[in-house]
Amino acid sequence: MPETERDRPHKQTFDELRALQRLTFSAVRYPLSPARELQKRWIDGRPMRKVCAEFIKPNDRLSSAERVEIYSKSYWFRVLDCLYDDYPGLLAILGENKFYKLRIAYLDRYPPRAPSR
Amino acid sequence: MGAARCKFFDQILEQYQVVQHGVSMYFGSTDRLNREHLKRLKALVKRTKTPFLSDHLCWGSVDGSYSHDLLPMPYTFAAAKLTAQRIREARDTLEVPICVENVSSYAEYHVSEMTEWEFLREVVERADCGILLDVNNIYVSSKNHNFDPFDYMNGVPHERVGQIHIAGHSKYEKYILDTHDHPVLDPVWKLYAYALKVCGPTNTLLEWDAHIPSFDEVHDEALKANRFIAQALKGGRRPLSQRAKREAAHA
Repeated sequence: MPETERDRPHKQTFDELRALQRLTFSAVRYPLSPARELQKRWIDGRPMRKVCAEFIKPNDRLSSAERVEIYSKSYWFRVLDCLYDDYPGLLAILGENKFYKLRIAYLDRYPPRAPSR
Repeated sequence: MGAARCKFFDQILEQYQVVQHGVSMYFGSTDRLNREHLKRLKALVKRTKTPFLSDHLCWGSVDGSYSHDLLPMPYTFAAAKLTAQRIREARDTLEVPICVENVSSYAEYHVSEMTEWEFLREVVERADCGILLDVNNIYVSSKNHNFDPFDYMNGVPHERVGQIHIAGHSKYEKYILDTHDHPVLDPVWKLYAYALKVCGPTNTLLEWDAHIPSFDEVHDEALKANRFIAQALKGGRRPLSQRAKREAAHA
């Protein structure tokens, strides 16, 4: 019987898939820079562009890091907006700037733990 | 759901056949399916009597933390196997057929072993489930990843398509974003016409969930789909030869 694609040894195992999802989500939820862009450095000090290039393909218009940044901005703007809408009292007491920093610090430590409903 | 909302919801259920569509199942996540979420979903499935349930071919959570986004899959056999297993598990728990929807994506992984449409086929055949074919998402991803959307359309197992989505998108300098806040653009209508040709007339949903204009404007846009369906009914569903597919794609 001819060997089929399914029979060949595959590039990825379940554990590697899990590791890839962990890495991707860590990059996506890594807090944005003060300019609200992807950070230039990863947690361990390596350039972010090099870290992203290890698992995301670039294309003719976007680098790997720029592609990750699309998801990262989308994540942060979405979760920051939710807390903004939910805590008008904190906004009134702290003001825009401090409330923004508080939301980032909170979400960095406590990412969402429930699915969308 | 509050009492007033429940009342409206029940009125809708009395007058319409509702088909449930979700964004939270994350069939492609390596995390186990969220049992609490499935339990709530099952109660809703019983209440709506939905003929099938659709959610996305993506992942979005890891180690119990949620992105609330539709993150792209690596197109690998390991991912296809896992995703199909989760779809079967969800179907067995919810006791309702499932259709998976292709998402718009903005990134691709080095580790991928196949194209997106090959991955879609691999998943739905392993899971023996349906497809919710989002024509706009195919177009958006084709522009972001430089592939021919008609190749995608030809690679889909057409007999598994249970529903089609159409929507508007936003063009940026370096990529296209699936925003659901515009009328459907012409290239997407063209691709939709082709989808109907190869899949046969298929029930279609227009998605418009941001910057929503008047009801009449959205309704008119949704009704445009009927013209394409009428055309497809006239032509009938037929298997196309490779040559006919190429000609239709580039007509």
